[in-house]
Amino acid sequence: MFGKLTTKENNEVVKLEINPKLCKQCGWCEQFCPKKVFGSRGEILNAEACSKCGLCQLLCPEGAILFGEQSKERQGTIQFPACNALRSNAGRPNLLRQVSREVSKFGLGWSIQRSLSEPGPYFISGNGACVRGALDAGCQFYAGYPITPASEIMQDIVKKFGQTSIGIFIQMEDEISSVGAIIGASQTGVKSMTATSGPGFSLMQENIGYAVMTDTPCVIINVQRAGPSTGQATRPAFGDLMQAIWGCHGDSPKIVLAPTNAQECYDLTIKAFNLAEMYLTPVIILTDETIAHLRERIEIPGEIRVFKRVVPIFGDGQELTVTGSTHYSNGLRAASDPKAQQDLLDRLKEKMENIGRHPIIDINCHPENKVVIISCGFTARSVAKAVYNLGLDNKIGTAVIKMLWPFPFKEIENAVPHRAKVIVPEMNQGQLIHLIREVCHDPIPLNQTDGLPIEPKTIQAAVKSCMEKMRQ
Amino acid sequence: MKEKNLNWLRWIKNGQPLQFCPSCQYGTILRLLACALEKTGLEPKQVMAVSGIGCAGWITDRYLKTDTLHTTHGRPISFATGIKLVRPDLKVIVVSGDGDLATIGTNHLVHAVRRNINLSVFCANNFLYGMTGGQAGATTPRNAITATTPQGNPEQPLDLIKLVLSLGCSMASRYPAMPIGKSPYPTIDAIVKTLKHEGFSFFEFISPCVTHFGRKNEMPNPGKLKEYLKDLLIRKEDIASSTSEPTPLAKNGKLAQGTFETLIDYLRFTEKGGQQ
Ligand SMILES: Cc1ncc(C[n+]2csc(CCOP(=O)(O)OP(=O)(O)O)c2C)c(N)n1
Ligand code: SF4
Ligand SMILES: [Mg+2]
Repeated sequence: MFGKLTTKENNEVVKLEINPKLCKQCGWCEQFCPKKVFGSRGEILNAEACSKCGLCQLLCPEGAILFGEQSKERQGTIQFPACNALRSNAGRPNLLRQVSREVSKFGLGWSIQRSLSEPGPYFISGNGACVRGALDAGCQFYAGYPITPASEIMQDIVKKFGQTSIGIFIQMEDEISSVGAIIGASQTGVKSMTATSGPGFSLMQENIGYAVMTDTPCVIINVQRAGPSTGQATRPAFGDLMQAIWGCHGDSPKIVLAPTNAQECYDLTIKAFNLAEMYLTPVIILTDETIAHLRERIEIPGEIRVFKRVVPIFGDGQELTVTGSTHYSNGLRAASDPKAQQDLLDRLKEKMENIGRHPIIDINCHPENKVVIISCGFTARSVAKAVYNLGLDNKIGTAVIKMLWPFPFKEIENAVPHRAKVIVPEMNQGQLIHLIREVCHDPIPLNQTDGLPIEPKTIQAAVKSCMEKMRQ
Repeated sequence: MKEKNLNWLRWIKNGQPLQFCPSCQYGTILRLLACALEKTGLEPKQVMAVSGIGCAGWITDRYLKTDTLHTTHGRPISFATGIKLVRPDLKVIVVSGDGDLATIGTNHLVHAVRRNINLSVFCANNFLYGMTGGQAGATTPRNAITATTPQGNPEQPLDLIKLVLSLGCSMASRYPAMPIGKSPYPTIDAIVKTLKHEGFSFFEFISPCVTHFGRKNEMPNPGKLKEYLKDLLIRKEDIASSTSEPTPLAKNGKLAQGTFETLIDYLRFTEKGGQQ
């Protein structure tokens, strides 16, 4: 049915050939060939009639009709550029180290940058500190949608971008497109971020998972407020912890950071950008309404270590193929290959394991501890105050987790004495405690969900009653 | 006009068969795009193709020899917005399906037109959700049988050209992917115009899904589909002289084919026999 035909007209030889590997016998050629050369199943019926118009080569959906001398189309193997492989292997420290050594001469990898603001003390809110941290880390793109209590971040950054003319700002039509836009910008080479609160964070989940899948560095700040749903927009909570860690569908591990004060908002935002760029992953920063709006003294250092991405970006002429479908390390979509799926998930897991080697946690425990309080976010400050008020020196230990994912299981397991009782105060119905249960025996929950921060006296009472029970 | 110069083939990645159904017209859309891109004088490294999820999202991903980004369902325009803002010098094109751009993603389409972001958006309209098995979408013609409208679609379809023009888009075209007239060159010329346009430009390929739309609506092969398209589409030059009778599936009239620059322009051509 298929084959080569050669027609002669004015002694000119024209080759008309159908590639049987590509032809699906669909029959469109019968419809569009003006000279009726083809039959309804792609067979060449009447080669002599061909007027050499070339329409068939242009229109055949499969590119199966080869016409004239250029018969090379769709033959041979596909060559995908090595840059795709480099992208998807980043996050593996050996490769990173090797690459960053080579690229440091181009100003990529680690470098020391001057802070944009004059070094020294400032009196600003947590939201303001996040903005300064982002700018000092080199953030140049912000896309967002207004929401209380995160809006100041957007308002502040657009002002700062205007003053310094270094960044691009766009207010998008929703949080879905905000994450879309920062991923697009990030893949094009600039450090990008957005900020939101609960309702917007829920909308973002699908595209955050896309950023995980495509190894896209970006930073997403979630200034938590009391939920569920619209809840209380001006009240703090820590109800998005589980969603931040496990919110997206599929196994899609990403970094989650939780500062406890304005200084840490600044420091951890810089850290977030550095981790994102080094490991090519989205980083989520969980703050809450209290930290976001509380004005405090922070210290801005003169010099900051920042990391600049070392993998190829769009617009470099490297024919990058980036997809949220499962793909091979060359970027090629692998719709149903089990090995490709397994390899990809293994790689994402390995990436998190590498990041987890450098946990961010403040541990203040002692073998003599009777009680250990484990907390994160603003609650950690009430814990510190409660411990101070109780004045029971060696009896109470604390752990403040500042990187919630990868979770410091090992560090907690090693630090908490076996006989100590663990208390987990949280501004939710119990989320952190599920993780603590993995490594500590029977931790005691202390949950408050009235939209107010947990006060030190509440924690003091819990510690006292726990100690009483232990004595009995 | 004959297309003897085959330089446009350099825009298509070599060596892989397409993953579309037999008779699907998406392969042709890829080729028309490649041909038009070559005619714009651009180089592959100056172009960035963004697509969404669906069969149409695969037109560029894997196959177009430029940077490609295959995004989430309905959202390619927002990713493209980020890219274009960072690299205004790149020609950013969005190629995706009707369900993707105009049903789940209509919001982003509307705002991209409103912002007049310098993107060229190509919508491969196959009249339904092809990839998920042929369910009706916002562009499914009235009374058409689909997997979710076994009695015929009761809803009014969205006229994408009218939508974008009403929002202030200054270049919107509608052409069939497979030429129903003598030559595909007017289509290619329109694509070139779309690509060269300053500001937001929109292009709708009419390319009914043969597998789901065709088979269920008595046009299971290219011959029948071509007849249907000949009935459905009317060139804007021909509208004045037509005595348009409603076609079986487009009961509310015909679809105007051509390039339009204003809503008034479009309505003038379509008030007679156009989709109301
Ligand atoms: C958020 C989300 N919802 C649903 C889907 C399932 N889905 C995949 S493709 C598709 C339809 C695509 O239709 P269209 O954009 O018209 O492309 P076509 O396949 O028709 O070319 C749907 C609903 C998805 N991938 N993501
Ligand atoms: S389902 Fe329809 S649109 Fe998708 S490849 Fe098949 S024919 Fe084309
Ligand atoms: Mg469709």
